[in-house]
Amino acid sequence: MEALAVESVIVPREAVLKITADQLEPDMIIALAEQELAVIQVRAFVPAHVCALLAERAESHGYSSYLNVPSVRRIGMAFYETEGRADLIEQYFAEARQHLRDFRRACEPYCSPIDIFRCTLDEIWPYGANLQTLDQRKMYIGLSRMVSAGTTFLAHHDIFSEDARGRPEATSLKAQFGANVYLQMPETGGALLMWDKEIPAAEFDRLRGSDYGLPIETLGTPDVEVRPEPGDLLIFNSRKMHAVSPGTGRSRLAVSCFVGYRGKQQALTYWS
Amino acid sequence: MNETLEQPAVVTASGKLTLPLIESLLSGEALIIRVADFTRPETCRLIASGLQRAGYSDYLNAPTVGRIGMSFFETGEKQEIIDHYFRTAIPNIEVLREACAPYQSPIDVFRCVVDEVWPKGANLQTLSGRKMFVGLSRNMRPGAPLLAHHDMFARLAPHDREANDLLMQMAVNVYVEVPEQGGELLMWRDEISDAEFLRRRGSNYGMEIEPLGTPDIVLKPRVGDLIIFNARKLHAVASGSGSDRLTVSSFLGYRGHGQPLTFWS
Repeated sequence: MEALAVESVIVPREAVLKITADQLEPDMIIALAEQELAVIQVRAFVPAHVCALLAERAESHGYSSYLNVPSVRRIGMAFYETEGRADLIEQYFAEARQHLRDFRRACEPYCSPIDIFRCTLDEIWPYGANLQTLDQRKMYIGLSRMVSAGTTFLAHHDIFSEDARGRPEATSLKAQFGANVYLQMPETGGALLMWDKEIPAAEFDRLRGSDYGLPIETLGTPDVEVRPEPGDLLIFNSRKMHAVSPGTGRSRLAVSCFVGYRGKQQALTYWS
Repeated sequence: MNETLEQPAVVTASGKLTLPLIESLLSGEALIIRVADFTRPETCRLIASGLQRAGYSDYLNAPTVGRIGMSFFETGEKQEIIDHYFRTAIPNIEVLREACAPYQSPIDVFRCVVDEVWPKGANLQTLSGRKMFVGLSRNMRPGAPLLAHHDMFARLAPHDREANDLLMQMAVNVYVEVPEQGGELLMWRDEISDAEFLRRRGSNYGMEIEPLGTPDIVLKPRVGDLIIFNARKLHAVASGSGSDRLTVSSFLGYRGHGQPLTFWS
């Protein structure tokens, strides 16, 4: 038999890698960090019938608007909303543990998809995975978001060090991923759109003005477009410009977090 | 805080596992901590039928105890069984998760909660760079006690640093089903050396309960309880009657406040 060259057979040179949950491997996370991959799509991470039940629970639990993005509704609070304000940062941490408990309780007797994601990352990543701390305080994780039909989630990037300026926990990141589990999808639209080109934070802030993001038309054709099914988990490089195309019919419900990568020999961290 | 001192050395709380509870165990102030309703009893009933459907098979070295997953204790320093343990570790975690699905796996929730509560977080234990299994589910059938024993990771992996730098090994159980009579956790305050334990148990996995005299603690778990105790103390389970006794379990390793806690079975 002919000897084969040793190279990774797991990661194809495609922007979107489609796998099932039991196939998630460290190489894929590294490929995402090294920008060899744009998106990991984990199919049926949560069974579709459970998504429908969780979507109902989330809706009855009640969504309220982002402090700084009125068109997007959420349960829990994103650190992004604090915008460096001491009172909001206090509120974020003061509520973090209660929000964690509330969301888990709201899912009962079903499993919170975020809890399964956290355990899965800790199982597959050689150095484990932990809830992110900031100034030794535990962050929140498990933000549920609702985007109503017809609403476009504007193009933006997510960079922890922009939200937690100068903090070693944020500046030590080598890559940041967004991770979403989709509980409900609109009939059409609701796709994740991504652009390869990264825009420096200062330029992005200048371009967006007082809005939280940029209209998607201004960026031209997206380089990657992924339309998840309910139950899918998408993990993507959140430092790239990304947006959500407007949906029709139902609203789009997702549970989301970030994953922080600090190198092959460091624990992963997660937060919302 | 809604903690009450129920009987000496047992600290009880309702619903929430908190840092002060774990601290009370680490300081030795408590021998057992108990969080009632950690998993709702309704959820436990749903999980119990999933676990029974998944099916229990006997321990390799403790044939009266049924289990799903595999305990590292079963490897007995035999290389081929150790290899089997690690080969099946992650698949077995998924077996447990699937057996509970679509309902929450109490061990997954426990892992997340400990990571939220402990300042340095918590992780699945590795041994020589390999991830261990966690979430062992045990079925004690009516009429069979679990013999008295203590749990010592270092005995099972004498040459691995990860097994020898523990400052405390705690045992964690969530009670999914509890027999009407019996099934109490029994514990003795006095520790014995591992050499003495090995001598006294002989070829059995543990020691007979009777000769040890009255246990210092007798605790009857309720469905949904999370119970954590110092596994270095001699402990046993009284035989039950009426129904099976189903638990999901983990060890919790402590190496100091500056280190993450770790999980394994």
